[in-house]
Amino acid sequence: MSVLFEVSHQCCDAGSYMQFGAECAADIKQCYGDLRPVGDYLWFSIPERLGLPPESIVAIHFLIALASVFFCTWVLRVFLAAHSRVQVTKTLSFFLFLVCLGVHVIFLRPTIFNTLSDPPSVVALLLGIGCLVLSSVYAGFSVKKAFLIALSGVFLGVAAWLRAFYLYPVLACVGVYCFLWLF
Amino acid sequence: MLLLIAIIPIATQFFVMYRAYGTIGYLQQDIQSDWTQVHLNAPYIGFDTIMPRNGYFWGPQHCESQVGIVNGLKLKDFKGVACIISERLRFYFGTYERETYIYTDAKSYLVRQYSEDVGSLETDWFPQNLTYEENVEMAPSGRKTADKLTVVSPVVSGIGDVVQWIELPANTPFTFSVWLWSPKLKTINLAIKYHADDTPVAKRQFTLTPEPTRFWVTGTTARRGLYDVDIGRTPYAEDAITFGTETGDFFYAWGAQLEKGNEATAYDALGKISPSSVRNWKPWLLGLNIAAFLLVAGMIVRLRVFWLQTKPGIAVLSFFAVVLAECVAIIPEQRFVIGLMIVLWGLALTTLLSLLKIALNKIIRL
Repeated sequence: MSVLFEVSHQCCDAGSYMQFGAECAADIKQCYGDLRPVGDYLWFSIPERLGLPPESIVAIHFLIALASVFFCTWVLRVFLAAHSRVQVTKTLSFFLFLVCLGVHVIFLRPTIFNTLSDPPSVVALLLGIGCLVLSSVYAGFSVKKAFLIALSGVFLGVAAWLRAFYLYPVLACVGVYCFLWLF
Repeated sequence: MLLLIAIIPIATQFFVMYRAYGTIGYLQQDIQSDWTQVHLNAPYIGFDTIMPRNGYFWGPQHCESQVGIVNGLKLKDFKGVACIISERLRFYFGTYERETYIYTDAKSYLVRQYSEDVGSLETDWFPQNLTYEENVEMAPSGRKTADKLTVVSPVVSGIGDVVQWIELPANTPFTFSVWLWSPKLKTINLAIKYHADDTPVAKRQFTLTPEPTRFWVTGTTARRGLYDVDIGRTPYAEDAITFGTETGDFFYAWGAQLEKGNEATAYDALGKISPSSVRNWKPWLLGLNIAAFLLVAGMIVRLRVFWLQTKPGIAVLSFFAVVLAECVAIIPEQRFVIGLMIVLWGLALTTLLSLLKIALNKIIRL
């Protein structure tokens, strides 16, 4: 068994996600269940489909969390530069990185070592919101803005597909945006 | 309109559920209804998924409520509704724990408060084809705490078992023991097995007698993962038993214990520590989270130059509002709201930074 699993106990129903993933990888028709969204089954089938050991999902969660930290830093930099006339120096960027790293560590620490859907859904959510924030930097219509909004839609949709809790927030977010778009 | 791409996975989920179960819903309809009922019509304030099969529901700590939010409003029990909402907010903002899941500081690996409720569906025990009666017989402890398990529909090769799922480490010897007895001489199995594929770690057959007898099995786990401790008819075809072959077959159970090592040592009712001893109120955390919210709220109200006035900003605010509403309406398990907390703190700290910059500029101008 991998060291990754040994550093922390697998909590609660963490084991069942890997089981769902393995069944989904073996037969695509098994990629659904009564309690979890389909996205979970597909996500946790990734190690099996790639021929990786099951515990590699923890490493994947670490990687996407790290990607989220860097993305968060970048979004905050652009955000500050565009909206508050703050000069973004290297020191400030480093501070922003520490801030992003800090909040990720505090709030992802309880689940990052477990094979639960929380890390991927949260990262998808943060990437979606980040893209939405970045899109606000571009005035009028531009290809970049359109791309960021579309990407935001992808990430927000994936977040709700991985964790049902985000269904109504994501629907509200998309609904309000579309309503505003009409005016 | 490109944001509508978010609807694609959501619509796919609805489509799959409709194809699979014939009902329109994001999850299977019965499950969805059950959870909605718990969220809106139960007097719970918190939920932790600390056990493999069952979560742990928290009741209000500082006030009383007999019904949930919707029923409370219908009955005009506004005090009860206020209790639920305030306690849920307090729970959500003020009790974030690094770990609330698995506790291994005690001798028994079974969950403490349930180790003596062998067969109760209310606990982490799961009976199959058995009915459960609580505390109906004198236990070896001299107290009337033994539970009775009666077969529902007998079959020729025996039927009826009760299982608890437990997360166990790899390459470790474990011993599962329990007192069992029955008025009729009946054979029954005890087993420890890997949950996913029923690979046995240890299994053995015993004969129940009218005398309370402590039976045990021991074996070494091969890998870390979810295991079952099983009493009754195990899934192995060769392990037929005589219990569950006649109508009315029953046995008494008491004192289940799962411990490290190759033998059953003295019974200790204190299993894994209970959730109530690891979830603590943290006033400082409550204060910090409220401060972050006030900061973000201040940003919305006062600093109108911020992007929150833009379309994406308003969309994200709607996201926040619904998550907050869900935190009140839905039992707030910390795992559900990690994203919100990260965004909240990102926004709060950025706001703080901007405010500092503005203040600094003013001071320099002076």
